[in-house]
Amino acid sequence: MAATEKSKKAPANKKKNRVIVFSTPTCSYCNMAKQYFRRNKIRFKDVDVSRDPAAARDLVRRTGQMGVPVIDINGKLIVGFDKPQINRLLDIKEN
Amino acid sequence: MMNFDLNMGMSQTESNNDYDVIIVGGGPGGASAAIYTARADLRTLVIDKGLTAGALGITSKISNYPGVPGPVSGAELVEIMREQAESFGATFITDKVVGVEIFGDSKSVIAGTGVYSAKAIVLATGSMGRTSTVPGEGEFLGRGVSYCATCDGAFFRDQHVAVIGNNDEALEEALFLTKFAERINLVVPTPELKARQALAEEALSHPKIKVRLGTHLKEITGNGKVGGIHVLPRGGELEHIPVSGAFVYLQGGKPITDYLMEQLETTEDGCLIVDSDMQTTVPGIYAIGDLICTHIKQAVIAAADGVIAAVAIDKYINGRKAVRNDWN
Repeated sequence: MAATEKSKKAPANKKKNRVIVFSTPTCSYCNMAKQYFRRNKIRFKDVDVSRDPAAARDLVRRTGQMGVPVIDINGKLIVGFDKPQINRLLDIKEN
Repeated sequence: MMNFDLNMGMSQTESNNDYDVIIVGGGPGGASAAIYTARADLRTLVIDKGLTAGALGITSKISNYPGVPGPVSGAELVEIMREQAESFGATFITDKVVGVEIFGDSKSVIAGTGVYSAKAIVLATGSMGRTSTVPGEGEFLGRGVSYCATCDGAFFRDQHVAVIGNNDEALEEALFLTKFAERINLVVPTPELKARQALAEEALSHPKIKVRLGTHLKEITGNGKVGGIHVLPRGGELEHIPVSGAFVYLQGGKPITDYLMEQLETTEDGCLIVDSDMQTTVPGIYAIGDLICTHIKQAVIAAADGVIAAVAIDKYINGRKAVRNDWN
């Protein structure tokens, strides 16, 4: 049935989230955040600000923060590994 | 061009990060625990901030450690213990732990170099945590104030910064910052550095690092972000140093438990609560040494705690009912 096939392709509850983690390779909270996303099967793009000075400057301009991680979830910026806020924005339910 | 990486599964490096036991802190307690767990054939990892990051590491003369007539420095004594643990197969890495996931059968330890997992964790981070902050420190946190240069150093390219502290950790972070910052003011509260000699020499001779010995940090100032620090040199007058970053590595006398994020029960003084096997209220999580503050703060006591925990862990992991004695 056509309707069933359509729902298989794009399940209504599976929103496409755009997640970007601004990080540095030696930042523990960045690792923690990335580990958390992997565990919850959330795809993310990783931007290493130590290798991308323009991204670092842009981040300071947008957030006033001179630190990582900063996590961009669908355009909303979260400073630090703020689990409750991440859970809320990505609809993650911790068991 | 932005490429979305497939960061879904475990990477190769992470799958190699599985251990039986991870010990956080490589002082006398952690190193002694490692000697026993490694000898019991448990895959053991010790994560430590640096040889002089703890109370024993900065002690200059020890003559009362049984079996080691001395006098030896604390750092030398810790090195002997570490070498002994390494000879039985324990792995030591220098890194800072910022988080632990303690519930469930597989536990994780999150550090700068990666995420490590284990069946049991020993917390041995000692009690050199800070008790107070300086004015401005909280206000400018993330806006120039940082506790991790290796994380945030990239934001201070070509700028003037300050590193405040006197131990291995502070010096390593200051040297890391030389990759990015133009000038590093190393503000040392004590009249001399309390770090490994090679490290101290490297920092003292680095053209980008200006060392200010015997100087106390009084305040971090700025407007929306860090603009400078006020320091007081011993016997001198209050001085303003213009910097855009302040990296603070000062120490105090409080149990270091911040990385536990209040997941474990503590006493009013911030000490962890354990049973007679050194196990906390969470199965598989042990705490030893100055973190549990129930006794005299001595290296030999911490070492003994480590052995108690290690023997209990062998029992916990291998499902033994009774403790196995090892007389050899």
